[in-house]
Amino acid sequence: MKDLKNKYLNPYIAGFFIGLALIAAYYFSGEGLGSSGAYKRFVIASFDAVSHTYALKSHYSGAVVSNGHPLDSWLVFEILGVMAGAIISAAIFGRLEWKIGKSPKISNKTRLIAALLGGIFWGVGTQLGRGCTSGLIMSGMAVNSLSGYIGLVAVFGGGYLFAWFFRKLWI
Amino acid sequence: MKKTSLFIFALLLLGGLWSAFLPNVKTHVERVPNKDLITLVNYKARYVSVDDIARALMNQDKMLLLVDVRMPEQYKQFSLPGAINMPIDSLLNETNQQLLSGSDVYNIVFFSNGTSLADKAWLIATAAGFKNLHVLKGGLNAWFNDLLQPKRPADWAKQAEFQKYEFRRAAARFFTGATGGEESSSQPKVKVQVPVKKKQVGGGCE
Amino acid sequence: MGPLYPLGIINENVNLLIAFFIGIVFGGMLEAGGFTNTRKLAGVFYGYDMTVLKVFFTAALTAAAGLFIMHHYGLIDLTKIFYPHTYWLPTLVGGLLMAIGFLLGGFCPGTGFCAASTGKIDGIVFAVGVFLGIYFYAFTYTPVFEKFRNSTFMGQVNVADWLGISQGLFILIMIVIAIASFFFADWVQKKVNKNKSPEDLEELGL
Repeated sequence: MKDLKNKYLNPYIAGFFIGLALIAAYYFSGEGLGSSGAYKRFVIASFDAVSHTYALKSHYSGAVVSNGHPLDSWLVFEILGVMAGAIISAAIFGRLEWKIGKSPKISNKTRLIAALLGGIFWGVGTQLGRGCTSGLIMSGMAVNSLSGYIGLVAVFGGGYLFAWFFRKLWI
Repeated sequence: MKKTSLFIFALLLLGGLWSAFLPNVKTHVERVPNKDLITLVNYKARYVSVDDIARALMNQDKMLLLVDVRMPEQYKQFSLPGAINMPIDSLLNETNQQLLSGSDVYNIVFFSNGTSLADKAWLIATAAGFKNLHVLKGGLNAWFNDLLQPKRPADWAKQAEFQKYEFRRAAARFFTGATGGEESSSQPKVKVQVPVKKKQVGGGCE
Repeated sequence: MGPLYPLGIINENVNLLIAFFIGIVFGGMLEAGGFTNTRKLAGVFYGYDMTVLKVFFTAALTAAAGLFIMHHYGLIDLTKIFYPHTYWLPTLVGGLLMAIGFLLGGFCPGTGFCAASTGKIDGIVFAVGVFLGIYFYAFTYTPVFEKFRNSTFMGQVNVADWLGISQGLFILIMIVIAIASFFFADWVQKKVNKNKSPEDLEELGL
C-alpha cells in the first residue's frame, strides 16, 4: 500500500465537508460546531464533582450547573465524535503514532513548553472571547454574526501582527 | 490549480450568487434601535408604586420577581423581601439573561435606592430586547419614607388619600412586624421561584 | 422544518447521537486536511503553508450560503438557532490572546483535541494547557474577568445589517474575497517555499 503519511485531503474538499457538517449541526440541533465549550464543560464537571455547592455558587459555572449535569451537553458529545473521527482518519492515512510535531530547528522541550503556554493563552482567550476558532469564528461566520467577524479579525489579524515575535518557533 | 479545487470554487460562487439574488431576511432577534431610546425614556407605564409592590408582597404574589440592581454590599445590608440581586454592571450576564427572559411569565420589577439607577437598568435590559420590565418609582427611599412612615393626610384631603394612608399603615405593620424590622432582615424571607427556560439552544463555545 | 431539536421534532437522545456523528465528520475532515500537524497550522502565519485559510474559509462560507439558501426555502428557521451575542471588546481582546496562543501553541482547541487523540504529544500538552488556562480563568473570574467579559454588549448583531447591506450580498462578497485570497495564498506559498528543499516540504504534503 502506498505511504499516505504525508498526504492530505484537498483543503477545499475538507472545508466543504466541514461546512456541510456545520449546516447539519444547525439543521438537526440548532447548534454551531465548537470545541472550547466542551473544554469548559469538562472543567465545570470537575468543579461539580469536587463541590456541587461551589460549582453552583461560582459565577463562572453557576448557570451551567443549575441547568443539569455539565457533561450532558451537545458540545461534549460532538467533541467525543471529533476525537473518534480524527482517530479514524489518522488510522486510514497511517498517522496514528506517538510523535511531537515541531519545526526541525527547535528542541522537543522548547516545543512542549510553547505548546503548554499556547494552550493557557487559548484557555483564557476563549473564555473571555466566548469561543474559539470553531465556536466563535466559523459558527459565527456561518450565520453572519458580527462577533464571528470580530473574532476573525482579532485571531488572524493578531496572528499576523505578532507572528514576527514567534518566528523562531516555526521557521 | 487542480480540477477539484476549481469545482469547489464554482460551487461556492454559485451559492454566493444564489444567496445574493434571494430577498433579504432578518434572521436575528430584533433589537431596539437607538432612535427609539427617547420614546423609551418617556414611556411612563414602566413605573409601579411602592403600594403596588407592598400589596403584591402581602398577597404573596408568586408572579412577582423583585430585582435589586444596586451593588451586592448594599443588597446584603438590606433589600426588599424576596428580592434577588443583579448589580447593574453585570445585569446582562448569562445567569441574569436567563432570569430576565422569564419576563413573559413573571412581573419583573427593578429597584434601587432612588429611581434613576433602576431606570438605567430598565433601559439597558429593554434595549437588549427583554420585555415587560418595570421600575419601582421612588425605590427604597419611597419604601421607607412613604410606605413605612406614612404621613397623615390633611383633614380636607380626598377620601382616597385616607384609604391610601390606612393601607400604608397596615403595610408598615406587616413589613416591620412580620420581617422583624429593617435591621435584621438581611436575608430575603420570601422565596421566589426562579424561571428557567426549557430546551434552550446553547451552542458555540459560550 | 429545521432546526429539528429546538422545534421538538427529535428527542434529546437522538440529538446527542447526531452530535457524535457530526463530530466524526468534523474531526475526520480536520485530520484529513492536515490539522493534527502543528506545522501546517502555524504555516498560515508565515506563508509556507496556507491550508488553514483554505479549509477555514471554505467551511464557514459553504455553511453561510447553505444556511441562507435553506432558510429562504423554508428548510430551516434561522431565527430558532443559536445566535451569538456580540460583546465587541472582550471578543477582540480574547481574540488577541488566542492569536498569541496560536503562535505559541500551534493549535486551536479543536485541532489540539484531534492532535492529542491521534498521539501527537505536543497536542496533548497543548490540551493540558487549555485546561490550565480555563482553570485559571474560572478561579479568577469574579474579581478579574466578569465585569470586562460582560461589557460592551451590543445584542445579537448581524454583520450584514450592521454594514447596511443584504445578507445574501454580504455572503457573495465574502465568497469572492475568499476565492481571491485562495489564489493569493497559493502565490505567497510558492514564493516563500521557492528556495526550500523537497525534504523540508515533505512533511507538509505540499
